[in-house]
Amino acid sequence: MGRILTIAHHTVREAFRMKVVMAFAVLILALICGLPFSIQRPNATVTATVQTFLTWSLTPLGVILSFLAVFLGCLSISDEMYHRQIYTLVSKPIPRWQYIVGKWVGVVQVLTGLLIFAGLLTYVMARLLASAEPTDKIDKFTLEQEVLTARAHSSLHIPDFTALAERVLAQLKEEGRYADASASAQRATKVRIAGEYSQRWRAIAPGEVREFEFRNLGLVERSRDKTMQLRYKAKGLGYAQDEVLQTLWVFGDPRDADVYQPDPRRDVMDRYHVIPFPASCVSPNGRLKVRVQNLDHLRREGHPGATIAFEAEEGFEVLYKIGSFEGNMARTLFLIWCRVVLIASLAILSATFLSYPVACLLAFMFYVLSVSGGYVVDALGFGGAQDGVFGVAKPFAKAMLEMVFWVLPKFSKYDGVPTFVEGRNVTLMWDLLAFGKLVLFLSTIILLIACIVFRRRQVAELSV
Amino acid sequence: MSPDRVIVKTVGLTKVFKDFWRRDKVAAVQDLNLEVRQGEVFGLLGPNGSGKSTTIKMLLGLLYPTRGRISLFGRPPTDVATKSRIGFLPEESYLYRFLNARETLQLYAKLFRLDAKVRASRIEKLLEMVGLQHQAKRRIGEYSKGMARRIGLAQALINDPDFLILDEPTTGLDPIGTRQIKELIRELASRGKTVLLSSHLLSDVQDVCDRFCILYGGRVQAVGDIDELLRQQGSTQITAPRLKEETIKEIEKLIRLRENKAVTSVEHPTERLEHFFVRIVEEAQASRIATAGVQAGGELPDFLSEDQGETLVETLVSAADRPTVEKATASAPQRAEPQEELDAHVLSDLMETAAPAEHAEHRSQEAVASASDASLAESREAGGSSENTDGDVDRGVIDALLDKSEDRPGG
Repeated sequence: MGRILTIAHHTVREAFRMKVVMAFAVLILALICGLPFSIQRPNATVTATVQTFLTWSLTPLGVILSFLAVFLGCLSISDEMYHRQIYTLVSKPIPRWQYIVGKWVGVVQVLTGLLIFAGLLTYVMARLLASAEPTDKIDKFTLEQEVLTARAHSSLHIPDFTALAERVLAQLKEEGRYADASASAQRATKVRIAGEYSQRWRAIAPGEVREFEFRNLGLVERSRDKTMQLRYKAKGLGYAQDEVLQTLWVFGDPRDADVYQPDPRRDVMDRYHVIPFPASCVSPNGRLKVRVQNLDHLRREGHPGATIAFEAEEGFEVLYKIGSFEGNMARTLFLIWCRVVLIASLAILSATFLSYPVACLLAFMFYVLSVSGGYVVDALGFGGAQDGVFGVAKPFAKAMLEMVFWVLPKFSKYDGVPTFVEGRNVTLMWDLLAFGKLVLFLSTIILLIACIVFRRRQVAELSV
Repeated sequence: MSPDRVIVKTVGLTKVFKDFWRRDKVAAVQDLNLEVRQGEVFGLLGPNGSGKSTTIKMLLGLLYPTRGRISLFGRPPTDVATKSRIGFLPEESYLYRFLNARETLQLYAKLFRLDAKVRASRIEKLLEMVGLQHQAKRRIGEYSKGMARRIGLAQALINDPDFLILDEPTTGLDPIGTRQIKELIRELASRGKTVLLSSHLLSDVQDVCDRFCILYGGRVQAVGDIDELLRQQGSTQITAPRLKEETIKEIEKLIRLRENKAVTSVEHPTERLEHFFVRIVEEAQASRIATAGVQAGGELPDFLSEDQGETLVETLVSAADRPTVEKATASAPQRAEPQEELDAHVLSDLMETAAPAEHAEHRSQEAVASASDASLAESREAGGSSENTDGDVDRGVIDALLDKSEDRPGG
């Protein structure tokens, strides 16, 4: 362990003395401190300003640190090979695997230090921006309840329509209206029927009332002082864009919880809206009943009104505070850390058998592929059959890329910034999953390969 | 440990560099069989590109042999424990430009897992030894080549190695540094260390090595004891304070009378530039003239001793049969002693025969007289070539002439 730490310490010192850390620290400083000046607009709410700042500071931070991971990971080994300091180092009693691990630890230490520095700077700047005078009460409330917080969510509980779909399918067969006999086609039809029922169930005709239920709210502190939010997006079927929908909402089951009924709402369709309500409306069993009445027929006299259809998942959910802004930010930064650690491992592996520029290119390629995720594969899937060379090569290219993405992680799965900026909880489980997959599993395998490659490599060159 | 214990052994060592398509490109070393014994200073000689550095790189595990075997202390060169007994000074001091001298030595000392106290003590002693204790806080990037070379040497000694590999150690050093390195090598050998010295500076090798091998085209061309290979059997050299012309003539007469041979040359040698330079700089150092360069180097640190770094059992087992301690103090004079005794004996004979010489006023100068076969002198007097330093030709001529002289009565 002592030799690993010696190499790690040496790598850190090298990064500082070669001004690599200084250059990137200045870049981060300029980015984070300069950003507020460029994003502030005269009529913008404080909430929007803070959200923009968090998005535009943390997203580039991940990119900058990934670049540093590539540069430093490749440089730390390639430079010693190029300037031949490796001759003196490898002739000392240090196993080659310890050298590689030491380099990795050193690079990770530098990245961690810079991430902490950037994180603290971002936090201070975000707090400074948040301390500005809010434009109105809503702005203040939104900032505190929807941004500077960590909220868990519960999506709408949708009844299981599978049994109903099976019955419908059987009836269609009996009536001779369904002829396709293949099992896969029947399964697909069943799913489609269930989906249609789900949509119908989320749609409310003018004047009608529907009761929805949200479950798994056991962690909510059921207090009148605590506020929860219902976030939804709805459409008026048959309406064009920007029509206003009129609804009445009642929260809570009167049998075992408080009931809260805000004033009837008039919300623009196809946009997200948030209705705050007291946490005491949640029943002791961790469920929340919400009744919605479609009042669209009352909007204009003589107008029949439109059916209102709610979206599923994030389009209709309940949010509640579960943690602090600071903790949430730390977990978001940890996700960035996991990603850059993996990039550092890839860079070190590249440098064990390639020269500096080629190693950098290879590591960058992996980074770009990881960031782009499955988009490249999807893009290859678009369009019809092509003639000529491209037509022949396309399936092979797609198969190869699919293989690459089977091994490579999709970084979008481990990007917590959009979640964090919306004040949603970046869960500890998410962090653990990222750490397990990106650091413990993939980085370990990559380092193992790097150690094997470097052990077999002749570090000296032909000099005859 | 046995004095003849083999520290380095290579058997059929071959290194062939291949190109991208795995085709043979350069055969750097071919079928090399070498043995370096404990306590000796072994020279690896050869012109540029002869395979010296490739051999050293294979010994250190920086390159892997294409064929053949290497053993260092009976183990393969990649063995980590073996590496802790080796010190290596590469052909150029490949050091980190951003570190200062002390940090550099710290880094390498830590890789040997030296205790913090031992580490600190050794670093100070080595800095003093290489004369850089006052420049220890300067970045190595600011050092001259010679100064960097000295730090390179210090890092090679930080672990008190049993086996020291020095690749062109005097490159970039001033004459004082060169002399110090040579003295250091001899001193280390006297303390039981084994040294492998690679150089194409023949004087370096001749001054310090016990044995050497000459490589050319990756193959061994000659290997053996330095005295055996270099001794000129056909001539004798006598050195004395400056003599009068009459005395020299008397000596020539005596040699012709006793040995039936003629003196081939009488010279008044100049002082070697190296000695002159060293003397001038030492005088400047003594008068404390300021310099940003190296100071006068110190003594060899006491930790570089033969017992350091060994277990008690090893020490006890090997103490009885370790003659290498006496090697440097004994071996150098041992080579010179019989010659000096012979020279003194001949000179006293000469002085008894010749007239007393008043040479006190000429004490600062030396006269060198070389005697060879009488016939050789005759051929010179007859207008032949004035000198022939080629040993083989001399020997052939001498042998032929000896055959003649044996026929002479009283010859």
